[in-house]
Amino acid sequence: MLPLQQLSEKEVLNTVRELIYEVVGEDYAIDLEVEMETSFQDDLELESIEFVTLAERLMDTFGESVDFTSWIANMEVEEIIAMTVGQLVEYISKSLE
Amino acid sequence: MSLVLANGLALNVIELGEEDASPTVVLLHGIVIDNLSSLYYTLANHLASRYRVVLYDQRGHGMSDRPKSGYSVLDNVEDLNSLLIELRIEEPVVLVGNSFGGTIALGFALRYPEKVCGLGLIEAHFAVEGWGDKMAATLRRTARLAREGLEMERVLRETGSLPEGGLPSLKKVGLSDEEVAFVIGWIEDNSRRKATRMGRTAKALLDGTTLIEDLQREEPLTQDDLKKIMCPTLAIYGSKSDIVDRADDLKKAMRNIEINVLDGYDHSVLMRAPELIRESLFGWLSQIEERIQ
Repeated sequence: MLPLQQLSEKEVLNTVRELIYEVVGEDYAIDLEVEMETSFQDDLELESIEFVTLAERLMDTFGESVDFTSWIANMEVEEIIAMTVGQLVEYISKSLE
Repeated sequence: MSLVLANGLALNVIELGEEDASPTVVLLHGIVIDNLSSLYYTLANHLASRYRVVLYDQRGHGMSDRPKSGYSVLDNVEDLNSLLIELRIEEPVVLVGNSFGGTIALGFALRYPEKVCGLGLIEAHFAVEGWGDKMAATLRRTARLAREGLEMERVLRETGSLPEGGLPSLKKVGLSDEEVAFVIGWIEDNSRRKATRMGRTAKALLDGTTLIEDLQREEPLTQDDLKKIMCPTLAIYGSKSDIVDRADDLKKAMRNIEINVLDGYDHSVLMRAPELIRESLFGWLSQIEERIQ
């Protein structure tokens, strides 16, 4: 993988996509399209425990460059549930700049 | 997120905040249709700005192991004790428990008083006379709903529709019209995958383990038991909760307690008004910090 600071938004999306596939399992991931406008709740139908697992995997991947804890702490429960893949990718990309 | 071997089980654990921040706050979730995610969404990340925060899936829940037996309050208390030892947390901790998580917190404070420096109870259950039977009845009903929900989901997936008013089998298992409507609403409100997975988890826990029998045997906590708890305690209940009268029991017995009844909320106050719970917790925690220093 490239140094984190050099990742383009598209590459961040690819990383996020791979982690989503890992979290939901291959059987389910096989038919899953993950794009910027994809919603975790309505499109991917992620369980909340899977979303938390994804957040933790992202923390492992991006380390201290991305402050997920403060980001999540600034959101209401409804906002977390309604999140799209794009919102997540944009936040990560912005943090890496 | 990592799996930690504690009390013979692999428990799914998340640690947030700075490791040297004090005190450590351990969060305990509710029973059956719950896991650490409800606390992750509402409290954990917020508290991590100031404290070291530990949250985990209790046995049988979320991504932790699901043994066939051992679901008493004491089993859960020993899991927590073992987890703290494994994580090398030696200073007394603050326990924050929601619903059944509050039951575990109270049980832990009674068994290991020297290891607790504060109890944050949100809609805490604790065993009173008849509690075991009532809890068992509620959980048996939940198990029936989960089984029927899964059956409806299967029919819906295979045939593309459900008969008006649900499946004929529902009447056979003795569900009322209201309960049938609840199951249908549950499938409609949640995404199909999510509802199915929640239903499967609930069914596996309720039909596949001794959880219901274990809780049914739980001995009531007496006023004398509660009197033994000396650490600072904050108890939050919703004014419309079916267990709001527990606030009075706690107040009568415990000397070092602050009660906060939030107007208009029911048992699900943590999910409905997390900002009010946080406000209350942060204020109370700052007093505990002052005592420690």
